[in-house]
Amino acid sequence: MKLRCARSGWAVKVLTALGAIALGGCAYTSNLTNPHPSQEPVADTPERGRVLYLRDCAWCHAAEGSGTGRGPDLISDTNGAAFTDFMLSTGRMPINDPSEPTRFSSPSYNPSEIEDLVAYVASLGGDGPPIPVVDTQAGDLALGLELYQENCAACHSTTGVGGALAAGPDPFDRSLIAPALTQSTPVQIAEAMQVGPGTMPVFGRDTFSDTEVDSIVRYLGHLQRPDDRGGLPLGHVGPVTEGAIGWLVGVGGALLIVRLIGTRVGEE
Amino acid sequence: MLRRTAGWFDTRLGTSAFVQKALTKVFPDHWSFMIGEIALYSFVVLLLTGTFLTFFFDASTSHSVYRGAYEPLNGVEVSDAYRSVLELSFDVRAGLVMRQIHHWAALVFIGSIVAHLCRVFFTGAFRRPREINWIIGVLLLILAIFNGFSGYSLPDDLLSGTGLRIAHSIALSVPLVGTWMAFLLFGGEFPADEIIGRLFVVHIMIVPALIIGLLTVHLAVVWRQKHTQFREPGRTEGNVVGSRLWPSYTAKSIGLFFAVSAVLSVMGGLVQINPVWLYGPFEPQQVTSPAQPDWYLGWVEGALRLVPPFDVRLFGYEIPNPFFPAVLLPGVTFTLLLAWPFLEQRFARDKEAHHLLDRPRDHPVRTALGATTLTFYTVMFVAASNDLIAKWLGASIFGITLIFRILILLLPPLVGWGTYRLMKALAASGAGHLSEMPLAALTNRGADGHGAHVDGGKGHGAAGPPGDGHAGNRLGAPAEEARTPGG
Ligand code: HEC
Ligand code: HEC
Ligand code: HEM
Repeated sequence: MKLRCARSGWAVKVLTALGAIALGGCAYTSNLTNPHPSQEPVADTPERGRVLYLRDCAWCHAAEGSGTGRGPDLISDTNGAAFTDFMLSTGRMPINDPSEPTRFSSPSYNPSEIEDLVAYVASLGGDGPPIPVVDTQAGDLALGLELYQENCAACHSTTGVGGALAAGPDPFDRSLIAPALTQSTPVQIAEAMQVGPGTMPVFGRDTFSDTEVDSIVRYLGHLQRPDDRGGLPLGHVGPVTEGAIGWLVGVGGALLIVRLIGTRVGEE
Repeated sequence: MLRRTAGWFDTRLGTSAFVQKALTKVFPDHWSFMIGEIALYSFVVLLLTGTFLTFFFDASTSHSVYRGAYEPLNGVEVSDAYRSVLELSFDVRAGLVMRQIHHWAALVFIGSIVAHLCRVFFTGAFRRPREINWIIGVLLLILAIFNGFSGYSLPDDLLSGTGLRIAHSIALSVPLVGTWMAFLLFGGEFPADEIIGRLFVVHIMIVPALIIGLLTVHLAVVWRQKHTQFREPGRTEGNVVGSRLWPSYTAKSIGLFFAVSAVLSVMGGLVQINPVWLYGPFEPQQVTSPAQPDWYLGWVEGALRLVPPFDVRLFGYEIPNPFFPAVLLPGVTFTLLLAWPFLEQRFARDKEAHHLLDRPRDHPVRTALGATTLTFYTVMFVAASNDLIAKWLGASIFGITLIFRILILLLPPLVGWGTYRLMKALAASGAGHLSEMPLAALTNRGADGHGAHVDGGKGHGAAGPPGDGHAGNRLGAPAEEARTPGG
């Protein structure tokens, strides 16, 4: 969850601190919060990307995109249009606090603002790939399934519901989460493969051809609307929820029935 | 016609006396006595649906091309086993609902065996002369778990393949014979081509036959020894009170069969289980996460995740880590379970025959030990989902595991102690039921020493609720039958 209203900054802190304590007391030390709380829309001029960037991003990524202690540089290796579009369209950027985990959420900008910001960040000089073009229909489902199982399922699970990755040995660290891919758009999926956000490895042009990328995206589209012809899907996490239902509904229901047709001590 | 046939048999076998005796046999009506029947009827459902599945299942790891309604795999070469399960799920009429009923029935079968075991344990029904049936029951539980795992592994999908890989490393971890055992079971290096075929024979013939055999003995012994019953007015060590087999108990039991089948069918029809098409075919180089086994092996999986990584060298042999949680622990578990009646006879110094049951409060030590044990396995069971819990809470897997490591040491004794106090207080309060016990009874420490008799021994016949239990508002007074000595 990402709370961006800075006037409720204290509330964020209290909530985060409470959450942190609840989760085992992860130390909350940072005192850096967004010094530019204004959220007024910026007029749609050719300058808009720059204005938004300087207002919302520069205090962490520096005006030239060279990075600060609060955020990485945006002008090297994988950075550029695809990465920026991914971070903005998945609502990962901007954050209020550098220690805040970056998560999927609803984007803070509308599509045309994102376009301007992306163009501006790309103009700063990152070497990363441009926003990929995806043609889902050109993909092959079977190939997509095979490639997905082989390259992605170990982290994101075969059903695409995501999973926790083993973190470091610090019990107070948050686990790295390979997120659910149930809401990702085709372009976001292709972008994620090319830039490798967070700890996800990069699956660049040299790994997958266009058709292969299209195929993976197509298969993920299928997983987002899976064939649940068996009935209630139970979250697609497998035996854990199945076991719970087996006990609650199955064994529980049967026990209820014998309780109804049997007697108790003292009844005849 | 019927009469003549019956007469024909009777003059040759003397059947009518037996049938006469059988039909008037008395079965107690207490609801908890029917839990075993839930297991029995789930097993019948397993046999029926399983037989249907064998018509279509192809237990082979040879490859062939799937052509059918599941689009992502249409035209893909997969193992015959996986292909046939896909066909069952998508292309065979009623195939999927049969598969799902079969799988749900497996979960409920083993669940009701555990519930049945708890009933027998907490009421002391395993005491002499019923030790034999306790042992048979535990063997049935082991066989059921084994058959569940072998069935779960048949479809050759990525999730169950991950399970087989773990089973293989567990087999390997057994000192001295591990390599040999793994080779024997799997027929070669993992993943071996042999395994699905072998599991299939085990799953549909060997283990079900053993289960049927043991079940028959189990029921015959119940028949011969007669049921136990709770202490109530009119019930003694010398009689059995309840309904006659014909017609009351038969009607009830057939009703239960239909009810259990109905529950399982509704689940099979409405709730998806083991959607192997989403898991994809098993490929040795692939893994998936999260990967948990069916619930009845959850405790072993949990133990694997809880035991810290260490290696032991003994007499120059290295004992790999999985040996302790996955071989030693189940070994000790089932050995203790099998030995329990004899252990209790020894420690409670009670070798007498008992046909009247304890209520849990009558034997607080046993009840507390049972609660401790259940808590221990429940914590392990929940710990098997540490990665899912970490994901749901956004916490560290390592931190969650640490919490479980602490819980498994703290919680069982705590629950045991709490149960002990509760049972003592309940017995002392004289309340008929837990819900009727005044709260004050819990804090009344004085109750400890001089409560009701809590030695689990004989003869406090007044423990039941006062008053005449025979409420006359039911058709037919309860039947009564004498217990013959030794029976
Ligand atoms: C509070 C500081 C902060 C603000 C404000 C912020 N970022 Fe970030 N940004 C970060 C941090 C920290 C990371 C690294 C996060 C991670 O890898 O999980 C990051 C990562 C990125 C990345 C990925 C680069 C990489 O190498 O990981 C992009 C692109 C990005 N930010 C763009 C933006 C844009 C565009 C904005 C303004 C809309 C913005 N950020 C606002 C702190 C910030
Ligand atoms: C090593 C584990 C790992 C593998 C393998 C992996 N991912 Fe990821 N993936 C991650 C993590 C971790 C994140 C979250 C990154 C972040 O938010 O900082 C992620 C994020 C994503 C996202 C963004 C989802 C969102 O929440 O917006 C997509 C899409 C994605 N991955 C697709 C893929 C695909 C497709 C593959 C296979 C080609 C793949 N991943 C392989 C770990 C992995
Ligand atoms: C002790 C009783 C049994 C248990 C606990 C059990 C359990 C299971 C389980 C959990 C599965 C996996 C189902 C799935 O794909 O989701 C399975 C599959 C199967 N079982 Fe059983 N089973 C039992 C008895 C039988 C019997 C008696 C037969 C045959 C006569 C049988 C035939 C099959 C077949 C053919 C499959 C593979 C088909 C499939 O997976 O869809 N089972 N069993």
